[in-house]
Amino acid sequence: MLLEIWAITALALQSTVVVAQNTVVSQNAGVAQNTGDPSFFGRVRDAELRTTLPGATVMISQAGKPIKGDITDSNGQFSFIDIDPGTYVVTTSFLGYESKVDTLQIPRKELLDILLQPTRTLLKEVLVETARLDANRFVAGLETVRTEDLTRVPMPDVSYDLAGYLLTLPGVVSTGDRGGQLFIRGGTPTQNLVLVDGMRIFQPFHIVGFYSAFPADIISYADVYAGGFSARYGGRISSVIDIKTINGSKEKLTYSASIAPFLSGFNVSIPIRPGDTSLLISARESIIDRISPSLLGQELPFRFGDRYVKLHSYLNQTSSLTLTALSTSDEGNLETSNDIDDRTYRKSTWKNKAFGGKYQYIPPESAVMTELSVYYSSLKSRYRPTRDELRTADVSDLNLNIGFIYLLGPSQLHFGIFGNTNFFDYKLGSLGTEGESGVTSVGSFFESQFNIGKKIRVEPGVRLEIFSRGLKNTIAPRGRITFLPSGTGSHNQFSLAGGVYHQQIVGLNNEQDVSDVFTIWSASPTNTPVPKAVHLIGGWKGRPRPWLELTLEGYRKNLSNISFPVFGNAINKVAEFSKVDGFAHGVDSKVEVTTQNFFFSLSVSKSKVEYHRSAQRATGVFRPNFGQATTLDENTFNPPHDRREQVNAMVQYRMGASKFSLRWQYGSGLPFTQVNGYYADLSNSVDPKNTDYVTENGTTFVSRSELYGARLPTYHRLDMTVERSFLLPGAELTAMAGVINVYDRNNIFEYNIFTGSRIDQLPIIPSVGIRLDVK
Amino acid sequence: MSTTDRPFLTIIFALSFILLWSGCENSIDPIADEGENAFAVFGYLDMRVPTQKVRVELLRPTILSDPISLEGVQVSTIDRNNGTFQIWRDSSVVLDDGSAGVVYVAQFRPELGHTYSLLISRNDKLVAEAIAELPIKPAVTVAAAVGDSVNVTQHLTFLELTDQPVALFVLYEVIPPDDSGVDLVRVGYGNPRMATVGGWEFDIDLSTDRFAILNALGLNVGTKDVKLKKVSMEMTLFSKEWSQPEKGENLEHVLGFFASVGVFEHSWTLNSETVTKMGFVDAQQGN
Repeated sequence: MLLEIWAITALALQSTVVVAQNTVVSQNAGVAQNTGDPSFFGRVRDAELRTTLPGATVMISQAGKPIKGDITDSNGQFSFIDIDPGTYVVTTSFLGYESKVDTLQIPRKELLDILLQPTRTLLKEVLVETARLDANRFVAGLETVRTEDLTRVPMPDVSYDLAGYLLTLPGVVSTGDRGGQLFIRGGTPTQNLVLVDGMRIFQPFHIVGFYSAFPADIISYADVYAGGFSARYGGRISSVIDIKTINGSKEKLTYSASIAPFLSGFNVSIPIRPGDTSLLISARESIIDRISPSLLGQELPFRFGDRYVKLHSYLNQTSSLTLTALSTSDEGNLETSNDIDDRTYRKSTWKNKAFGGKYQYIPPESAVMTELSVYYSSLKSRYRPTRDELRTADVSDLNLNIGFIYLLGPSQLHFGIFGNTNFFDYKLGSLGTEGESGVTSVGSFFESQFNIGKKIRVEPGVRLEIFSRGLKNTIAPRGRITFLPSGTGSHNQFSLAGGVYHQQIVGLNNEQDVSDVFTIWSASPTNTPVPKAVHLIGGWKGRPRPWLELTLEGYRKNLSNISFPVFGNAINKVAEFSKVDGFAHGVDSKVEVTTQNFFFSLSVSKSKVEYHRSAQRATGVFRPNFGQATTLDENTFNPPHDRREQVNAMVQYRMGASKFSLRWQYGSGLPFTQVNGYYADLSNSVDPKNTDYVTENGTTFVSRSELYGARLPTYHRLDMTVERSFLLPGAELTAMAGVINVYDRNNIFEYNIFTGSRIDQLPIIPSVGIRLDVK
Repeated sequence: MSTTDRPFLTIIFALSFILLWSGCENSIDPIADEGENAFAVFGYLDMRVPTQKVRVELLRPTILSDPISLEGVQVSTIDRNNGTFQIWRDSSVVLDDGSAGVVYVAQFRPELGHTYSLLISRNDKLVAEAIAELPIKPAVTVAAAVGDSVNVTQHLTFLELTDQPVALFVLYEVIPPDDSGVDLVRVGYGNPRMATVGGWEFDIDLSTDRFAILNALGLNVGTKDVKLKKVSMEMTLFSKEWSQPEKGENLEHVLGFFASVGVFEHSWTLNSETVTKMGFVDAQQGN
């Protein structure tokens, strides 16, 4: 949080924290400077010591609209040129000082001398619980999601959800409504790092795909890095979803409750020690499995819920403590079957648990911020292929981080050390394979931010990690460059991001089946190169009109040493694994129109993911007792998440207290492997000494056609909702009505190639809900 | 609605148009085109028996599907070396679980070194082919026997042996002391022990074989008047498909396994001194 807020101020794109709202017109006369163009200059100083303050943020705005920003140099000075004549508001902020708002008239010839008052309640002021406001910041590969973004997505209940919004982002591919799997710019779900207040969440989405494992009510903002993420993040090679939650209100008791067929829940915020300590509690539970037969005329055998608790306290004027806990549960049947017994017993379940704490310390009048955090998280997955068989896969993660942030004028250094331990435990039932293992690593990272002139900002970084077992140590350079052609406040912004990424623990599942969510986590095999990716992302963001924003990004991810399952002709056999290399590349574009009452966004993505497998022998990650490994020929193929085209459109229109929202999604068909058919294999029976082999039953084998050589039908769906709010004394009541899958598209979720049965995604679902917010 | 909002209504209509345009194609074809005529065949050509057989199955679309009738399916072989064409006869068999299977049978004995194509036709159209190359008879060199009477051995080398030798017997034709007739004694050597450049080699332990022969004839180890009439060896060879049955490189548009088993014999003459060292009386022709 500290880093984020500082980064915002450092970029000087918009004011972040405004505490003191008193407007003061500076009367300090300085040395007149005149370049001929309308411009003004100034400096920022400590009001008590009268020392200059390098690195302070100075922002000018007009009629509430940010115009330009600057960072004070090593002498505490700033300057603005080419400013149209008029009245402007100047907001100055710096870590450890009360922000100050001045009003001045341009042209102005006097130097503006701004004095900032040191704060003694540093944390409360700097770490004010607020959403990020750096709406104009553009970083290649990064999408910052705010709560107001979430409210634009039609959902089947009156609350909102991050997962629903993520699906509207270009480059994010979902396997559909069921299963909760997201593929981000060519990366698989197990290659995504999802953090909730720093806690790693292994399965961050509920079994119904448009719900994340945590409610939107608790989200302050989420940074979604589709690639090119910085050195502070590690352990995954595709993407990062870094979610920061709000703190509970420290002033008054607030609560809300909602009821809807899919998900009902409540949220309460309790000031434990008014002004200093708050407790936030949130709980959600689905009821769709109980009411779907009567409401929809069909069974939707999914049950899921989550609970979240956060205690936040200012221990004193310079330190704070945060304790957080999250638990989720999911249960359902994702498979096709005409047998009622199978529908009942063939269940997938998983439970996330995560808890931990963070201590932050900011010495007053010091340029060093310190953060210590410890988090534990675990995922327990269960899968019953039959009534009598249970397969289990558990993974846990213990993480310790110590971070230091140095503020050196307009530049910043972020140094961190970390230790991480993972445990894995899996038992694969009748497949006869089980194992326990663990891997521990320690490492450090270094990030820096500095400016080259007024137009270029450079953010280099590097991450080093050392492992306890036979995995090679890794060193991963990362970097980012932002170019603002007209300096801060440019209507056009360009950004480049890239880096090297490694993943030492891998999640393995049955890639032949898009609906397979049973994931076995394990350490990457020892003495072999770990999965690695090299990212390069370039993007442009333009705002030709105040109401129009355009974004265009191109990316390339080179992948190597990716574990990919190998399926032989035998059906009931643990998959062997091969190492594949590959790439994901594509172009994502987005148009956003925002007026007072109208919002429209259209994102279009074109991408390609390709894997290449060289001739090799399959490895038996889970098959210690298997016989001869399969010999694999060289092959090039598109994995099952290679969605080539994707379109997302959203419209929202407000009329007074009413709101109409509409979303349409389109995705081209995903690859799958056709079969030639099934046959009785007699390989084990054919023997020159056994002439009776011709009457043996053999083992049923499947003959597969070209690997992922065919495509599923296209996916498209329209959702719409209407909402109206009613103000009540001390409360707000929101009523919602909506329809999911308006035109009842039968989007395929799974085709069971073994049985020839098909299961579709959610049908047309009418929904109503009410929500009460008491403030 | 403000005037600035009006143009955006066109976007909604555009979206509606896209909806209609996106079409309703929603079916999935899980069976590949080449799967419609895909067969599985299991069997091998065997020189050791006069009747050849293979089991043939038409691939089923799902794991739960019943076996598909082979009506209109014809299985035949053609000897590529001499053009002999033979149609195989279909025969229903009851499998171990009581279900029905189809086995195709032909009366012939394949020949060493010949190549056979197993042809599967459906409605008079060739849809699959499997090829079996019978092993080629290698060149054999027999070294002179060495050793004294306690340990007489003879070294054999098989050159240009391209197929896998799986069983080797040394055959002795002997006449017991009572001249009751010629007995054939097969002494098994299992697999040849050594691979050499361009072939295989192994040693015949003639001294030890003598005990095996006497034992087979029911004679005491001290019996001296047994006559040795002929020495030869018989080697069983598997075609290369047996070593990697999963590869199926000899199968075209058909799954499964199709291979061959070949047998060849080679005889030679021991010199009289060696026969004497073995404890036999030399009765070989030519000595």
